[in-house]
Amino acid sequence: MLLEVQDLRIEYGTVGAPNHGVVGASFSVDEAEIVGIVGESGSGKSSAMLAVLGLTREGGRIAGGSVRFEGEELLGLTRDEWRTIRGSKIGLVTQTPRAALNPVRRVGAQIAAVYRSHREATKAEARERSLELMRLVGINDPERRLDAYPHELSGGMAQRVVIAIALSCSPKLLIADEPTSGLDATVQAQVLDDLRRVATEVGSSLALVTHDLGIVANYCDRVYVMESGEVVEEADVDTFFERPAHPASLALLSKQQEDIDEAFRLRGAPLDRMVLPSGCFLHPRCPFAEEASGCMTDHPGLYDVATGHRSRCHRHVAVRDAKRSDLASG
Amino acid sequence: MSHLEAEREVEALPRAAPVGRHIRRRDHFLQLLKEGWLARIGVAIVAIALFLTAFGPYIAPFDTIAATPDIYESPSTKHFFGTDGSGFDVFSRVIAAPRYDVTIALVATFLSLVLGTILGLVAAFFRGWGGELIMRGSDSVQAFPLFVLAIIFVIGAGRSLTNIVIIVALLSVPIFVRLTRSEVLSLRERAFVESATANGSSRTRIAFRHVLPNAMVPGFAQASITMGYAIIIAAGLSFLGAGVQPPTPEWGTMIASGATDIIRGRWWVSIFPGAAMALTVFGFAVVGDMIQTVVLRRT
Repeated sequence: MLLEVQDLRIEYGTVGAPNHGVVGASFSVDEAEIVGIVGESGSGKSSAMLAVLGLTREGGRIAGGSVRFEGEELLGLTRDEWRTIRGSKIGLVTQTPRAALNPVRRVGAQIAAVYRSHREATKAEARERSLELMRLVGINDPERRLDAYPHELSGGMAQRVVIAIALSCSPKLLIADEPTSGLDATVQAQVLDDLRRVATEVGSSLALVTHDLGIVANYCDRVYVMESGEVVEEADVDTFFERPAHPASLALLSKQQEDIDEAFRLRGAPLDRMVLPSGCFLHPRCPFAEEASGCMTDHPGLYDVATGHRSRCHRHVAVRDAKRSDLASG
Repeated sequence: MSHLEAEREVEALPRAAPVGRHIRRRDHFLQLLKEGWLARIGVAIVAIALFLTAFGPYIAPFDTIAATPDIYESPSTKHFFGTDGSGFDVFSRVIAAPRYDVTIALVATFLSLVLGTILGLVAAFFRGWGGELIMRGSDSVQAFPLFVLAIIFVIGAGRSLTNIVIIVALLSVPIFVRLTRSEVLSLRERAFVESATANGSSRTRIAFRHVLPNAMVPGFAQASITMGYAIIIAAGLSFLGAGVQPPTPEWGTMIASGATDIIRGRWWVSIFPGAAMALTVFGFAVVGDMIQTVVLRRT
């Protein structure tokens, strides 16, 4: 395994009464794999992926768990040790490309700077590398774009530059946090195509955080569903779309697939995670929750539904069959 | 298909760049002048002041520290601004004075801009006891009445030109510290700082390469306004006898030397240097304001 995250916990706010951002998330990414991490807003998917780089948003802290990369434990590294990982072995592509670039520096210089901070290279070599990267990520006329400022680029171009920066040192893993959320649909597809192509060329695995299941269906090999700060389902992409076994997955799918009954949607908004509910975190919102299965009292572990398919739901069989019967009747 | 799309995107680029949002450096000055007549006056005053700083003493029609036989002569075609009690030509001295006043203000402002910006950056970026120390220190400086502090310093350290520059610079540091700090506090939360961290940049590198260049613009606008204040402090010190000494041609000493003449009707000795100083301060303030306007519109 390239990346193995175990029981990751992230807390926000005060130490005594923390808000549980991520509660024991476990996931892994294999070599040359494209993994999707999906979930509704606030489910903890971005927090979990940032933690892989040892970062949290303001006020957050990594409270426990393990992040192993190429067999080496990352949590607990010093600030200087982290810098040899970030941008060098693990790259990050963020959701707002234009904001992710320094507005007063030319984009070529920004790519070159990251490259030079990790590799021994002269200015000329770094410039050459920037050109090569810009060409690689599909930027037309890279010689001219090299000296452009971020605001002179379109959103799609800016995102390609961000991808070029993340790829500058050929990282083994590329984390893309909603890389196309701000782009037009047509540009979105191009950028994702380019992202997948270059990741393959460079030999990087890709962890794609998104809430767009269309992206998951088209680009990912495997998928993790996050909900209330936990990984609630893990499956390969075909299984996920054909036999989802968790209500949160079903709810996500119901927003995109019309053949799933609206009754399967979750009720209300994600919970404030100051106080976690007893039993399954989802039970107050879940249409499948029932007393007899222990949804209100026992916190579910990950059940093996099939090989490589796991669900954190006491009623995973019922959930899986619900969609199947629904399809059959429809 | 995907190639076609990419082509179209490239073509749309020049138009996609929003008009007026990006102003190239060489356009800044022109942009300033388009702000209207007030800006033009401001720029003209600043230009004249800087010209006189460089050449004032050379183009003065009379020797600035040599007495003429004409004592207390009212303004005439020979002595445009009249002469004072020692027979000095007031006009010559007024246009030679920027050599002292503007130079002191320029050097002091530059020093305080550099020092204040760095301190503000450090205070905002490396919060903790160091940052606290900087902020409380700058509060303390601001808590004193400017002139009292300046006089105490000059008396204590000696009345040299260097000491005057130093005290004027120190008094102007806090405003740059606050300005830069507030700018950096918001910048450090921006996405590109997070990205830089995620790409493995060190904190020092982020502070100086990514945040600082973005935080300097308000400082430049303030620098022009501070120039005006610095002139007032420098001239004020001289007026009180704690700064440049007579008979050096300097606005503050000239105003002081003519102050007692005003009630005898010899208004020209004080009024002309006073007006020249007021006009210069006004000019720098207008230019500072205009820089701010242009910069705000850009972002």
